[in-house]
Amino acid sequence: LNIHLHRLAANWRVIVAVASLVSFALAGTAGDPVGYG
Amino acid sequence: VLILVGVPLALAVGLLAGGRLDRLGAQRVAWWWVGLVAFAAQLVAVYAAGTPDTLDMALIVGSHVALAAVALANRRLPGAPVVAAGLVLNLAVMLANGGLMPVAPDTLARAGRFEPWKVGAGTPGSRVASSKDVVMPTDQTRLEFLADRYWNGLPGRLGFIFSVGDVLLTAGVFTFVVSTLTTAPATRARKDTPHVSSPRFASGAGLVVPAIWD
Repeated sequence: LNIHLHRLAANWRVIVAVASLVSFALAGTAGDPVGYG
Repeated sequence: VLILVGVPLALAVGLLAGGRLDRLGAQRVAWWWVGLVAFAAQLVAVYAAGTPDTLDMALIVGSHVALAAVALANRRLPGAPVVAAGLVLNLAVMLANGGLMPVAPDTLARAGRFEPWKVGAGTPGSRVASSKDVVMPTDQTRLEFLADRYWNGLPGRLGFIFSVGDVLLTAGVFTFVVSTLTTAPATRARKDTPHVSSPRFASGAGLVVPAIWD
């Protein structure tokens, strides 16, 4: 159970990390945040 | 958008180079949540109808300042100085031209942006629809070489307009992702955060325990 909890936490942190990274980069690049620019 | 290609590509390169995805979750990044807040603020500024221009401008400029501060606070992380440089360049040209990113009518035309739903009024001084950009002729743009002046040349939705700052930011994020995925946490801990002892990264079962995104 301990190992499974660690894996779950690790996966969750990876998802949050990628989401934060993409948000950061989209907000940082000028133009349309989610479109063509 | 440049970055929507850059991040998946960096993840793919990092994994193909033998990297591990869990290292991204274990990487310590100061003020990591600011990116999410800045992105949310910009969605309001760009897409919410009826918000005053002054509020939009404050949200856009303020979010860029916050992002640059985060990049500088994390300057010891791989790629972070390049990210910071990209953000500062974008911020510089935006501030020099009233707070929004200038894009020339010629650039919009070259990229095939003619429809009102894509470019708004399209007249000098008007905001580009659903965008942080403002239409501004080249000869009236300060620091024009830093503006949204490049087009990747691809048709339709594949085509996008970008700036020098965008390229630097994407390159920095690419470096950060690939380096983080391919560098063992213990090595990073010694190199980047000497005050953190390596046992915090390892559990008794030998698994890598995600460190704190603080």
